[in-house]
Amino acid sequence: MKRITALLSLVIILSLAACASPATPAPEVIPPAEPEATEVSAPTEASEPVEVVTISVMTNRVGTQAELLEQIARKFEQENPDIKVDFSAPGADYEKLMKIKMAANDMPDVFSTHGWAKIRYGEFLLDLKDQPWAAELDSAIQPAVTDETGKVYVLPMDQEKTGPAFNADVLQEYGVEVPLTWADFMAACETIKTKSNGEVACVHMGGADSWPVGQYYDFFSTALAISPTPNDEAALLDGTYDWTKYTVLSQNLLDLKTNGYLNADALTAKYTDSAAALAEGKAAFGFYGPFICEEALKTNPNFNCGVMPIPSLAEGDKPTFAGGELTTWGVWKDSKHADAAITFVDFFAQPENVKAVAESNKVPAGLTGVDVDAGYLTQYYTQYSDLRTFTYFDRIYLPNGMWDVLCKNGQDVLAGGITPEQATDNIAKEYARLLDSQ
Amino acid sequence: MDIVQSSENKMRETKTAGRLKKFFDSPVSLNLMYVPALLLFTVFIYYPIAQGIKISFTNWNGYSAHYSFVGLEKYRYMFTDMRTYKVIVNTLIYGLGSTLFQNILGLAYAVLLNAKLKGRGIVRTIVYFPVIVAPIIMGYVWYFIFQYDGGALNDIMLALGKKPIDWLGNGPRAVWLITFANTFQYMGVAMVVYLAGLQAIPREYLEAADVDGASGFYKFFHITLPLLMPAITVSVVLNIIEGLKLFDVIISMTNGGPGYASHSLSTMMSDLFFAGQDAGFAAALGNLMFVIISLFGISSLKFLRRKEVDL
Repeated sequence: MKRITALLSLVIILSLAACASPATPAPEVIPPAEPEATEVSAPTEASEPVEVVTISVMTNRVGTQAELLEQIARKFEQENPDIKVDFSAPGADYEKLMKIKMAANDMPDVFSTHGWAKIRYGEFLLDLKDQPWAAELDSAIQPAVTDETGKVYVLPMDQEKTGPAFNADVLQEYGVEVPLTWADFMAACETIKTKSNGEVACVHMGGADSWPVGQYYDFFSTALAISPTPNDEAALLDGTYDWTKYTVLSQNLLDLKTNGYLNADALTAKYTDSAAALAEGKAAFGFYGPFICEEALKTNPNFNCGVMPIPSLAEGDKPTFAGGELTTWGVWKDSKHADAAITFVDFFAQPENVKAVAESNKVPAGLTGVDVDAGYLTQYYTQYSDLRTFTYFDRIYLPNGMWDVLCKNGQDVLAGGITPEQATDNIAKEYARLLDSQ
Repeated sequence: MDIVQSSENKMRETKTAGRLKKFFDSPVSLNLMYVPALLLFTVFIYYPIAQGIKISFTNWNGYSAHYSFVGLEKYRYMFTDMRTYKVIVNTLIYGLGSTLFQNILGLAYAVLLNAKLKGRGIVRTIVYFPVIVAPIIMGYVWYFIFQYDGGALNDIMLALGKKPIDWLGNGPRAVWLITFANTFQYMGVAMVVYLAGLQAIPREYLEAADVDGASGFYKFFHITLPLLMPAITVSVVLNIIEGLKLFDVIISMTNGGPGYASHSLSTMMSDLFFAGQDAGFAAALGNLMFVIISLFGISSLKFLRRKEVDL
């Protein structure tokens, strides 16, 4: 019995010791095996062995955009034989993976920040202000990737300029002009619904993925609280915003549903269904962005995709575009191969690479002096060139974690589980809680 | 000299072998065999549990190096948040509903397929087949059946001249459809457990009842069912635990939506950790789930054990 007690004591002591050791609450995750940090190539004739450094590079981009980034990375390897690139694009799991890596303080040497260079990844990123391209940052993207101290968080190869996407042929068929105010938008929806006998959904929403609902809130939050004059920017920044004003967004969303302007399966359709519906002419608008055009073109290569500014909500206000980071590279501050990682980032900052990346996304470049051909979207960017572009609302005015709150409450409103007023209560409560815990 | 040294060596070897034999025969060596398993349990079970408890007292966002201890705040928030009650109710429907249906259907299949029927091997395989499919894949299969646009069920409805229905767009209905999908997948496990139980019942009891003129109904409820209690215990307890932990099918069918309508404790926990960036709340919910599963698992085990009869 004494022996058993001793044995159990040993196990308890070991477990207590294990519990007590970490300074930070690290989750129980074993990080994926890193590639060999360094390897020594075979000695060449009468020369010193060249130390080959391998850097890990990870992006959230997928599909053709990820392929392009990898192609440029391979070109970089050819020009820099002493640096190897372990490139990966884990797709939908990127964000979860990065959170786990941040918790374990084991980040890739170079990684993309998908809109969160400052707020989420800021403390993990090296300052790149001394790089030659840092002086070439486009003024529209500068606030999103730099701070008041002058720190440059990432290299922005391009930048978003986005608003709802639409099927131009559907609009033409039903004689609808691109609506620039919310009232015009609702009128356009009524026309499409009536003329198509309800066969064409005015707005297609892939609500099963939840983020398209969040995208609706993000687009129209700027139109509600930031773009009008006077606006609520100061109150949002100091945390005193009167959230009852926000109910109008949930009410507008519900109006879209109750008026029959949304697809019938708005809660169970996925993003890919939205792309297919737009491509096949089953829907007129989607609260997404130019990126859905590329997805829809896979279904219908003849799809006539257009991008419009976000309709204004306040009387007298003008429509706007949402902007911010899209394709970026940042360097992990604790990287053992920071020099190689910076060389890699500098390579991507070369004009021909910036141009290729921006053109693949059909958006403006993140650095000045690079002309981008946005293809079929050029006409829209030209047509609306005088309109203002605001950084995505949630990236500036909402605390971390609020995106999910918007998505879920919007879904609940559409499902009839809560009223727009209850959604506002929930959003205000979560805002206060998340702000407090930051 | 060599002979003396060699005999000394032999004696030393014999002594060592004796000591080793004594050690391996002693309870100490037997107890040491537990150590690797206990260490593994410590690293992969006890340590994560301890971490989970610790994190539930913090406001950690799930990835930052900075956090602070907030005492019982996350638990206070958990019990005042209406979502928690909805999620608990859903979890109980998934756990208890699946258990009820899986066992009724599993037992019915077992009784049917225990009889001498042609092709019963094939039917057993068909009923058991969904068990070997990954739950996430099974969820997607059901999603494609229930989806509004192009779903198999709505295609049938349209062919019959009916209007399509957004089956998973209604929260309470989505919860029951998920329960149905889970039941469909795992009733094969209950069937196998009950088949084994039925085959262990001595035929003499049933033959004696036949001689006494007992009806099939009487034999089933007064002989078969009481003697199946050990199998029922195993099947029910396993189903309750698995049902209360349900995750994959929910993720693939509804992702917990619409809103929070079909979340279980486990999917909500994952959502709070990764999307909600509230590891403290997620950990508190995880601890609540641990308590609920333990309560239902232990109480059902104790209750059913009392009903068992010895052969």
